[in-house]
Amino acid sequence: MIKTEKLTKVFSTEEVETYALHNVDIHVEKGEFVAIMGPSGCGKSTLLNIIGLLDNPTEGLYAFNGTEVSKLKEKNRTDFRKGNIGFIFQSFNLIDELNVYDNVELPLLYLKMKASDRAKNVNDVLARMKIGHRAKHFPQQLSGGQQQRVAIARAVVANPSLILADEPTGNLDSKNGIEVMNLLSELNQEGSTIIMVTHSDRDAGYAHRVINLLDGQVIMEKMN
Amino acid sequence: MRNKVYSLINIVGLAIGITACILIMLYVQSELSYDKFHEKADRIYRVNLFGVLNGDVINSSVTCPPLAKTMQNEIPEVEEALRLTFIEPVIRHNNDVFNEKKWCYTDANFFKIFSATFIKGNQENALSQPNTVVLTESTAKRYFGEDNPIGQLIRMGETREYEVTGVIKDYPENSHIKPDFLASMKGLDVDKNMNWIQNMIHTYILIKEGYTKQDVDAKLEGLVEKYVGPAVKQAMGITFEKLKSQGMKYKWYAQPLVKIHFDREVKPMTESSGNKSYMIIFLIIAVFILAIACINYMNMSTARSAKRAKEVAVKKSFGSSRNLLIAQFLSESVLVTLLAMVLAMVFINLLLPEFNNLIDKQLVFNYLNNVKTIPLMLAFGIAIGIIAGSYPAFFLASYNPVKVLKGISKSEGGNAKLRSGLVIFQLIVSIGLFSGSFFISKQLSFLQHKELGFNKENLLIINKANYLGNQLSSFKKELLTQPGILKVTNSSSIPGRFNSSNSYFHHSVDDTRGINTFWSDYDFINTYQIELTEGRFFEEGNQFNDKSVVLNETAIKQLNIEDPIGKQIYSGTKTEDNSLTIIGVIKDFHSQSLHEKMSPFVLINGGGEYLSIRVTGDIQQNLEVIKQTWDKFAKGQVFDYVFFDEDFGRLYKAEVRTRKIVSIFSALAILIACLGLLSLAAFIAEQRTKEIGIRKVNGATIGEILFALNNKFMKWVAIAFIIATPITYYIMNNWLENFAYKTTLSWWVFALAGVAALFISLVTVTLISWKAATRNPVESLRYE
Repeated sequence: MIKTEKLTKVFSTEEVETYALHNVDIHVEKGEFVAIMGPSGCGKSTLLNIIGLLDNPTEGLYAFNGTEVSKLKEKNRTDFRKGNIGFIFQSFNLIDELNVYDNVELPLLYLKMKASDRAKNVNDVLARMKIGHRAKHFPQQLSGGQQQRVAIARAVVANPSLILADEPTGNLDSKNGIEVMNLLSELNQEGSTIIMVTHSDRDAGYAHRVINLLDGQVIMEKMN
Repeated sequence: MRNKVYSLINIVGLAIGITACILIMLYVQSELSYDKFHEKADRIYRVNLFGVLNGDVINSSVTCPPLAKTMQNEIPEVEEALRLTFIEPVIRHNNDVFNEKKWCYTDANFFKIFSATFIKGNQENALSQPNTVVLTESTAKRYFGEDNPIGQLIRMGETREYEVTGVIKDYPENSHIKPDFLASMKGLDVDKNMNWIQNMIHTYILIKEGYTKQDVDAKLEGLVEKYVGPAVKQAMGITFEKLKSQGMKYKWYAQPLVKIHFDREVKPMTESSGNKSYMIIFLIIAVFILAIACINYMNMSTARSAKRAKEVAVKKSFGSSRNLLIAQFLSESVLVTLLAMVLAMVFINLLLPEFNNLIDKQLVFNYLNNVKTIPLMLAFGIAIGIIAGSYPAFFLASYNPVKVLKGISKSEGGNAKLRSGLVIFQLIVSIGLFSGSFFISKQLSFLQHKELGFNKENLLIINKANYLGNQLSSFKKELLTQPGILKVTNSSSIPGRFNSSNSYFHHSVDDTRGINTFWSDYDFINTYQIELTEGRFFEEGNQFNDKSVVLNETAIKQLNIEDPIGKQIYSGTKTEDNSLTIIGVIKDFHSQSLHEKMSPFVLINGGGEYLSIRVTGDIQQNLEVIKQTWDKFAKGQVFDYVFFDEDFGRLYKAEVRTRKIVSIFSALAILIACLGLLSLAAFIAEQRTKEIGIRKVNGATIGEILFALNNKFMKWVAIAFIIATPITYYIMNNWLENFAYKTTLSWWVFALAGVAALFISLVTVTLISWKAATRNPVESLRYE
C-alpha cells in the first residue's frame, strides 16, 4: 500500500541544511499495523507527515496504492488525502469552538457528503467510541482520554484506508492510553492500515512491525 | 515584532483620525466664529429689507441710501449707523494700473462700529474728509512697497484722486466684510441720494448698550410709514394702504452681525457665505473618522487582551486591585493617544497648506501663539485616550485570575459580539460615506452637464467693455474680421450674474411681477445660442431703448400673456409712457445656479459693461488676438476678461468644495477602517492558526479555508450595507431638496457602494488570510 524509495527531506535555513530524512525506504502492506520509533528529532514525525501527504519530500519516490504522489501540488495532495487518510495527534487537535459532533463531522463536510449520511456516520462512530452522550459538549469539557476518543472518531469517520497516529497516547495516563491502543487495534483488525509514531514500548507492542529511525535513517526493522 | 506592527497601525490610524478631525474642526471653528472678532460684535446689526410684492418674496441686504442717517437721527436706541457699498474700480498709481475688486465706500463712523487695527493714521479722522481712503496693510504694500503711504494719492478712473489717510491690518479670514480699501463716501452722488425706494446700499448699525433688536425693529416700522409710503405714492400713484391691502409687505429689520455668514435667505450673499448644513456634514464626518480610529484601537486592544490575560492574572493574584489595573490600562491608552497626537501635529503642519487650498481659506494653526491651544490639545488627547481605552481597560481588569491561570478561560479575545458591532458600525459609516460622496458627485455632474438652454463653452467675457465708450462698435467690427471669432455681443449682464430686477404687469397693476431685466444688442441670442421661439429678436440698426422687448417663456407665463407678439407690458402704471412692446419670445435658459427654478427675463435693446465673444479654435491664440485688438482701441484701459464657463462655475463653488472635502475625508475614513480590518483579520487568522491547520489536515482546501476566514467579514459587510442604505438614502434625499433640479438616487449607486465595501474588505482580509490558508498545516500544528 505504501512504498517509499530513497525518501529524503532536507530543511534548509540560511546557514545549514539539515537532513530530517535520508534515503528512507519503507514498505507497508494493506492491513498492517506499523510503529515507528526513535529518539526525538530522528525524523519520525517528518516521515509521518510525508506519508500523510501533509508535506512533500525533497527527493525520492513515494507510491501510495501504486500512485506516485511525491511531487503532487498541495491542491492534489488535499484531494488525495480526503477520505483516504485519517490523522490522530498527541495533542488531540480538536477545534475548541466546535462541539464534539461538529469536530467529528469535519472530514465529511470537506468530502461534501449529504447531511443525512453525515449524521448517520457521525452518530455511528461516536457510539462506537462510546462518546455519543458527549456529542454536544465542547472539547474543554472533556477529559484527555475522552478528547482522544473524539479525535479517533474524527480520524475514522470517513472510513479511510490509512490511519496515521502521532504519539496518540503521549498526553494520556496509562489507563486511558491502553484504552486508546485497544481501539486502534480493533480498527486494525477491522481492516484499517495503521502507522503510528511512538516513544512507548508498550504501544509499539500492539504493532505487527516496528521501524526504528535514527538521524533520518532506518536502522532496524523488527517483526513482533 | 508583530506587536510592534499592531501598535504602529494603531498609532498611525489614530494620528490620521486626529489629523482629519482637527483640520475639519479648524475649518468649522473658523466658520462659526465669523465676525465675532469685532469688539462690539454683539451690538452690530445689518438692516435688511423684507418684502412681498405680488407673491414674490424679497429678502435683501440692500437698502436705500437715506436709511442710515435717518436711523441715527430718529431712533434713540441706535448709537451709530453707516452706509456701505462695494465697487470694482480701476485704480492708478504712478504708471501702475490695478483692477480692484474690493473697494468699499463707507461713512466716517465705520471705525466706531467695526474694529480695525490702525498701523498708520488714526481712526478718529481717517475718513472724515471727502476723497480720503484707508488701505489694508497688504494693499499698501502692493501700491507703495516699503514707502510711507500716508498722504500719497491714488487715482480712480481718469480723474478722481484719493488721499491715503490710514493703513489698517488686513481683516481676518472670518470676516464677511473684507475690503482692500475703505474710502469716504462724502461728496459722491450716492451720498446725496435721498430716494427711499431706490435700494442700492448696505446699512449697518450699532445699537446702544442695554437695547435689543426688537426695540429697533419696532421703530423701523414707523420709518417705513413715514418715508416709504409717500415715496411709493409719488412714484406709482397708489397709496401704501391700498398696496398693503392687496397683500404687499414692506419692512426693515435688524439682523445680528454674527448671523450674517450662515444666512441663506438674504440676498445677495457674500462670496464666502457659509452653509451651516455643510458644516454639520463636515463635523459629522470628523467625528466619524475619529470614532473609526478609536474603534480600531478598542478592537485591537480587546482582541489582544487574551495575550495579556496572564499578566493581569498574575498581578491580581499578587494583590493588585482592579482599580489599579484599570488605571494602568487607561494610562497606556492615554499614552498611545498622546503619541498619536504628536504625530498628528506633524501631519497637520504638513497638510494645512493643502487643506487651505482645498477649502479656499487661509487658516492658521498656531499652537505656539495661542496659550489655550496646547492645554486644549492635551485635554483632547486625554479624552480620546480615555474613551478609546475605557472598554479595553475594564474588560481586561475584570479577568478572573483563577480561571485564567488554570487555563480554563481560553478567551477568544474579548467580547467578540461587541467587536462585531463596532466593526459593523465602521462599515456602515464607510458605506454611507462612499455612497454619499458618490451622490454629491453625481448631483454636481448633473448640474454641470444639464442642458442650460445656451452654449456655455468657448465663450470669453470682457468685463468693463463700457470703457471703450463710442469705440465699442468699431472694436466689435474689428474683432469679427478675425477668423477665430464667431460672434460678439454687448450686454448689461451675463448669465450667472443677473441681479437687476424690475416690476412689470400685463393685465393690471395687481398682477405685477418682479422680472430680471437686462439690456443687450442684437447679437445676444446668436452669441449665446439661445433659441427664438416666436417673433423676432433685436436687429442691427434698431434704436436703443426703443420700447421693444423680448421676453423668455417663463416671463410670458408669469405675466399670463396669450399670443404675446405685439402685446404690451407696463412698468409702474398703465400709461403709454410706461409701456413696452413684445417683439419676440426666447426659449428659457438657466441663468442662475440650478438651486433655483427657471427665472423670467425681459430683454431690452441696448448694451452695458459686458462683451461676450464666441470663439472657435485655439483659445489662447484667440485671447491674444482679442487683447491686441483691445489695446488698440482701449487707450490704456485694463483688459479684464474671464472664461465664461469658469465664471459660471462659481455658482457651484460650495458644491465643488463640498464634493472635494467629502470625497477626501470619506476616503480617509475608509482607509482607516481598512487598517482596522487588516489588523483584525491578522488577529483572527493568528488566533485560528491551529483551527486552520486542523481543518486542512481533515481535507479543507485553500478555498474553503479562505471562505471560513472571510465569511464573518462578508456577513458584517452585508449587515452594514442593509443598515447604511436607508440612512444614506434619507440623508441624501434631504440634501437634494436644496436643488430645484436634482439627480436621481439610483439604486445602482447603493449597489456599487455595497459591492465596493465587500470587495475592499475582502481584498484587505484576504491579504492576511491568504497567508494563513496556504500555510502548511504541519507548521501550525507542530508547536502546542
